[in-house]
Amino acid sequence: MSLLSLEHLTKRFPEGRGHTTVLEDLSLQVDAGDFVGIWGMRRSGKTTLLRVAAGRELPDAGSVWFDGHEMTSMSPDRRAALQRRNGIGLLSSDWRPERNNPAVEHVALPLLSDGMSLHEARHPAWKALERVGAAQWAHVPAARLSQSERIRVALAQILVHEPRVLLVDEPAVLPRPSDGAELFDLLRSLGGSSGLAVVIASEDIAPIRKARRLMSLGSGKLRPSDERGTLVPFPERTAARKRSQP
Amino acid sequence: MPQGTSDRRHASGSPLRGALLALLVNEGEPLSGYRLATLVERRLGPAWRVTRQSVYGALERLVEDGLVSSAAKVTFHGVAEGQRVYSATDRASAALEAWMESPATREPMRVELQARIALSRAHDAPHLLRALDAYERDCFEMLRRSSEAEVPMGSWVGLAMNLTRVAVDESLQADLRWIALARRWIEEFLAERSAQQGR
Repeated sequence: MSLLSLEHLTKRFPEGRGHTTVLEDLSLQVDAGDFVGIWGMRRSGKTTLLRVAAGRELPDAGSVWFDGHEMTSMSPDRRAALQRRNGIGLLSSDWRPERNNPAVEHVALPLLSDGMSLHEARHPAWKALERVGAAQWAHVPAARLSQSERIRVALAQILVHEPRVLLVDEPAVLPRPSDGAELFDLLRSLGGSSGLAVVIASEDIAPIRKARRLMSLGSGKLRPSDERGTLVPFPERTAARKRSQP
Repeated sequence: MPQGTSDRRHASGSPLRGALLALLVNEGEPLSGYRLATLVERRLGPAWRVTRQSVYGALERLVEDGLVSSAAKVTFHGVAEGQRVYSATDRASAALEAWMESPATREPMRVELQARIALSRAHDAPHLLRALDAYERDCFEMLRRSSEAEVPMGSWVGLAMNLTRVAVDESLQADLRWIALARRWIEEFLAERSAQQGR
């Protein structure tokens, strides 16, 4: 069984007097160590898909399974717990840190809700910052970090919970292409041996170019790139083949 | 005809021809067709889908035009059987210079699927939607293959190869957007028509 399984998801939002269908009978399986890249235009439903997969929103139909448990039928508290420990982390580009807190505190703070003291939480926070190559900014206030440095701290804040699935929404909002290349290489390297599954959804192809599985999202559906044999041949060719058959 | 004009004419033609000429001039030593095909594939990237056959064809024309000479490969023990190597002639540098200096023009767009859509009828729509899916998968495959060809910056060759890769990326990004738009327009048209028929 897959680590994360989205089964026949449908999600609608009200629009005018009717509604718009953002996800329609959409299914996706993600295994441990997987690296999935989802390409989609603006407003194609990428953010909705990731939020539903992370348990932040419920679908109108269909189910989300994580490690054999149906998240869509869990209580909100249990779903929220999955975002805290060994569960599903969601990194989005709208992360807004407290301006004056140093990076290490940003990463340590979520662990306090797990019952750790700030003193205890600092050690795993350091480890998470090291894992994303951001330990050198541990004591720098968030307001003084660049956009790409902030994204790394936000990533550490998610990794400190040691998630098994990392969902990344639109990481392409970086000022310099070189920052992007480094971040995308980091995201790729986070998976692999650790078994962390990474799913990146982006309007830009740069963040997903090295994904093991590529797919596009549009009209509410996911289209995998590894499915073969749906191209319809020329009618003449089909006719010729039929004629040649005994 | 003056020699310069002739070289300019000879330099024009397929980009593959220019690339082979550049490799032979810049490497400065005789190279086999196999080695040239490997080098040109590396420098232009996998998206060009350079075939061995096209490389040999372009080399033959360069030989006919007097910009490249070919000879049997000579090894330490004598002449190697059947192996030919290619060298730039004295006129090759001027022809290469002329190619680099010549104004660049936009290549015509000849995507087969675009022609199919241009000539399609409404009842072809389901076939076109499937063809769009296949074309999208092809774009992703090209993206995957061009990702394998990444090289570090820092040298002129690194910069040039990265620019070539980015050109492929940008074109793939535009293709993917076009596919998404085409799919949406066709689906909206079909939905509208089916709603009209239902009334």
